[in-house]
Amino acid sequence: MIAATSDASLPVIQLAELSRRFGAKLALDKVNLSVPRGAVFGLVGANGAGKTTLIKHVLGLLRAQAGTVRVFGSDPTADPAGVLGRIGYLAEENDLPGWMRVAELLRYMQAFYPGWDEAYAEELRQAFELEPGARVKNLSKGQRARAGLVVALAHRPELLLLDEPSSGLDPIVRRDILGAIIRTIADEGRTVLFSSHLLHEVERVADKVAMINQGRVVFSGDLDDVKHTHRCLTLRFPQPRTAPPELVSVLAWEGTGCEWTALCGGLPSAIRDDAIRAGASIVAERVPSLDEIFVARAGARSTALATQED
Amino acid sequence: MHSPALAMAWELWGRNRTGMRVLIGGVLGLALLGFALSRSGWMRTDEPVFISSVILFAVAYLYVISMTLYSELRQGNVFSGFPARMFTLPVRTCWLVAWPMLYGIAVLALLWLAMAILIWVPAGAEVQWWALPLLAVALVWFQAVCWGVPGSPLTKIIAACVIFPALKMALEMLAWWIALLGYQHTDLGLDRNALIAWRGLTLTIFCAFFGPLAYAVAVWGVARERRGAYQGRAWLGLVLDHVSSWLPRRRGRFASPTGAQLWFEWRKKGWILPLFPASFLLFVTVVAAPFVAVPVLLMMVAVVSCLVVVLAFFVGYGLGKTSFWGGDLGLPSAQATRPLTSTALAAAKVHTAALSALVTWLFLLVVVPVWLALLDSSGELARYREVYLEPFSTFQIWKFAALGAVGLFALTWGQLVGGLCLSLTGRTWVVNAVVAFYLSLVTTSIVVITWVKDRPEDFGTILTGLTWCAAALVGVKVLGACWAIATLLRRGLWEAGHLVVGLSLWVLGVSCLLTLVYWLVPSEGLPVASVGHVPVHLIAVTVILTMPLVRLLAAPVAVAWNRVR
Repeated sequence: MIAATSDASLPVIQLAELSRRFGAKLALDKVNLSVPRGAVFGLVGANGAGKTTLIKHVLGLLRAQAGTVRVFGSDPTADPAGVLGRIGYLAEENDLPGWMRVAELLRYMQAFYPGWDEAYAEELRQAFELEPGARVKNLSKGQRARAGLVVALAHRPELLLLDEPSSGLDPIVRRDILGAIIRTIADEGRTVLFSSHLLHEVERVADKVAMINQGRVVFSGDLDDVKHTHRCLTLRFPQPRTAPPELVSVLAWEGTGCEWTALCGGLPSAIRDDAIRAGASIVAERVPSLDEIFVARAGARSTALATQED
Repeated sequence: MHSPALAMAWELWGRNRTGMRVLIGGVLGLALLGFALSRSGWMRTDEPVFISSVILFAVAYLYVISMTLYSELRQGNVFSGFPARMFTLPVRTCWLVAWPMLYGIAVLALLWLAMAILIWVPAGAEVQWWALPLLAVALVWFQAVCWGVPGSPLTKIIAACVIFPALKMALEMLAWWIALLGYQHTDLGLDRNALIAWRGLTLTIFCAFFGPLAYAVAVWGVARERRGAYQGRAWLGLVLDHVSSWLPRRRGRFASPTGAQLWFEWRKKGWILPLFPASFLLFVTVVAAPFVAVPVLLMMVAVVSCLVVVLAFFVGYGLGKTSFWGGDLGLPSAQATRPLTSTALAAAKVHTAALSALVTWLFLLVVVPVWLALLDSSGELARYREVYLEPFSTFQIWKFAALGAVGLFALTWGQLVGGLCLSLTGRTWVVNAVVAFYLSLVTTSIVVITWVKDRPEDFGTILTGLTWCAAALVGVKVLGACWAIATLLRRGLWEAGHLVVGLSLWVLGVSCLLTLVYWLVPSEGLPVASVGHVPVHLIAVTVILTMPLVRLLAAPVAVAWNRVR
């Protein structure tokens, strides 16, 4: 058994050159990722990009075929009980035992976590309006997600892992989940890693973000840095164009005739210089949303792959 | 694809093509084996091939049933057996039901024909053609029960337990009624021969009435399901919920995580094995007990005792899975992410198996004597007691009872552990390999028994061979146990507390069984007809082989293998 470290300077999650293959499909390709203590880390990517595979490695449910996975400094597959005791996990496919009643579920889960806060669990149960005598299988999808949240939060985990927590849920439950993340952040030194398709939610709560596409981390860093290094520029050309010009920093183009909008990655000054060199004048400039960056990056990557294959 | 009927046939083939190919391969392989054996002259009869073909046919029949039921149960859709995805197809319910029923009958008929032409007729066996329509009617009734009866698989099983005996009774009544009518017109005596004489007519009437009835039941059930009539809770679920709300609930905290996990496993599946003898005795009490004598009741007790041990393997297999009825062997993330070691997770299942076996046998030991005493109005039981227990002293009787009880408990627990360790691996190929091994073992046993019947002079040689085989298997078992212990130590899964309990139970169980063997079997061995004796040491070794040791030790390794992929 490997002794887990509590050193605050060490990242909570450290993935180095992590690769995973399922048959012919490369699910993760040399992924490097570091989640520092106290961060709210958003993991974004398309369906099948490798987010769940990555989270399963963090939970120790998948063994790294190449590279290393360290959670709290330990290999989660070597010391599952030690690592999982410090993690609160909410899965996309909420597979809580349906035959249990809510009160039984809480008592059952309490046995596994020495740090279980009974008063906090009760407070959450009441806030989420979960009947203690109701069977889990009779709860609605949203209520089941709330029950899962209570279980994930009540032991005040050092690391909260949420895999597509708001997928298919109504706005009220999504609000509860975001609230849970915010609550966890309020507890000093606690870390959140969550994957989501709903990028505006990621934007609202995450301070760090990583985008994963076809098994590779396309970008990773502070959300502010990501936004700072992307610009949405509207360019006006003197003559109508049938195709946009070739600019290195542009990830995606949209437009016709004289006016084209480019989503660019890089430093803003370099992007502006590139545009002027192409003979265009900048008529509008704004910071793109994470949604736009995601679509542009994912599109750029698939175009690059298609070109390579050709 | 030009028609829904073709599309449905293609879907059935697409989902089951591997199984169908294996089935075809099995039939062809057995036909070739029969041909080779008859040519070589190794066997004086074709009995082994015939018996193997009957086993293959039984397996194939079960496969055809599961195939044409759509096996949606395997995907956890247990409320209705008919796939809900098909309800949105622009096809009338009568056709949705008719095609899979017809395909099932067609596959069954083709299978029967292939078996008859390739195996049974060349083996000189008399082909019982009359069984085919009966099997077809049974098949459509399986479909009707699965699709027409709403509720959990348990509800469907209860419905099947009522419907199939009722069908058998209806067939018998019809046969006797026709024979009785025929008797008035002919001079045939009214006995079993009369039934056989009118078999064709009986089967025609039976199949013509009960086949379409099954179809009507299935259409009725599927139509109701299609229009959302079963969207509420199933009646059995409601009744069980109501009953369970009266039962005492656990309200206190758990003393430890392992205690919580044991409670979880017991509440989820631990009660399934004890439920079997309870429901069997209840069924016999209601249906048969008032009309049968004590010897028959005693035989039923013996049957249920044997069935408990046999069923334990299958119940254990279900115990190791996420859902008892589901086909998914993977550990669900809710279980895999529990902060418990793999050894503790495995130990909770092994301890649940022990508890389940203990409750089952305690139930039988306490309830059966009372049950027999209540049903025995003529005092016949006392006479049996005098005849069979008189020669023994009270101490001997108690010793036998204690050893027997512990031995039966251990045997049942062993089978539960044997089954659960397979599903704990989470790998279908492991399960298939073990099933193939067991099937080959059964086939080999049949071949050996037939060989001995055929050539009694070879009994001594076969016995020597069997002794060597058994010794080799014990060697493999010891090596396997060493490997399991080494793996536990190497992977940090060795937790003395859990493993010592398991090993102690194993040693206790095997000791009791061996004591019983050496006590009950004469020193010269167990007589086998007029051929010779099976030595007591061979029986003792077989007993050791039936108690899974490697699987018991390797259960934590299986969980770890399933947990971390």
